[in-house]
Amino acid sequence: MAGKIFTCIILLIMMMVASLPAQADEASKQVYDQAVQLASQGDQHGALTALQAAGAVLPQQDHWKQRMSAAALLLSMRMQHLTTLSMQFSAHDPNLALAQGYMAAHQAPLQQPEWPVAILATLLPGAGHAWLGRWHDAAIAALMVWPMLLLTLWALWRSMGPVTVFFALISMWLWSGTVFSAVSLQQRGFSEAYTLWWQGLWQASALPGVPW
Amino acid sequence: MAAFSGMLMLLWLSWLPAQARLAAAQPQQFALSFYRYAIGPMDGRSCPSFPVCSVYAGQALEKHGLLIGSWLMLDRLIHEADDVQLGPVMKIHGQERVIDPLSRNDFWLGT
Repeated sequence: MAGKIFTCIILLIMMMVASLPAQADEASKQVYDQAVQLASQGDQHGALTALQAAGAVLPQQDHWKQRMSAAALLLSMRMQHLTTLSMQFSAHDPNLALAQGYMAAHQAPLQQPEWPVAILATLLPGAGHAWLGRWHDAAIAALMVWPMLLLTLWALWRSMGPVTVFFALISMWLWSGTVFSAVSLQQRGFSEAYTLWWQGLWQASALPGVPW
Repeated sequence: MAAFSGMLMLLWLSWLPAQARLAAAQPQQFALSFYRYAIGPMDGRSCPSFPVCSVYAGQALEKHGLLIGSWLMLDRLIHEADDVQLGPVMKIHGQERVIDPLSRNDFWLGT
């Protein structure tokens, strides 16, 4: 009887010991998921702090520690607008080695200056959008401004006084609006391409979750 | 003629729901309310984006004021032409609509 009780106790202890890493694994996963969720909500600093703090207390060989340090490095790179990874990081970390491979194969989009688009859109309504390759938008912008501009010139030619001023104000508003639109589309185009690049990098590094 | 127009305007305002009447009383929102409650129902669903253009314009005017808000409104009208083919879309009531919230276009203004 005593032998059976002893065996049961030993088995119980073994089961508890066996379940400990699984619980720790689950806890690490939860911390990681919460950090990635924070990042996806825009709190990059919070996510970075959570990953660094949790990574610091995990044992060296823990695979979650590796993931957390890789994720923290990528998050901090994004925050600093860095798009290259030093070889010293990727040499010992499989996730970062994958990220390095992605960076080598896909060049990060570079932000182009805004002034060519702004100048083109100012000189010739619709030309800024055409420069960005948005031909339908260019046609709409031109159709918005050119008729009103012609109307203003016609009113000016006919010396229509206040009507000319009214048409001129409308033309200026539409014209400046098309310049704003061209600059805005360039900003948006870069921002979306940049975010896509980072999303691709994260996926390629085989890290779980979607922080951006 | 002016008195007749004024009466028509008052008649239209009294016909609006209370919330819309409040919005229409603000000078910036008047034209939008007029579009939304007078022209829109006759025009039908013509905006291919989500949120619809009048809601987007209202948000832009409220957040950025008359000048930049109206520029954002013009920008929406202009960039719809290519976004219909290139932009991210989702299905709402079986219809494909371009997802184009204000935050997609005003993030660079830093406000």
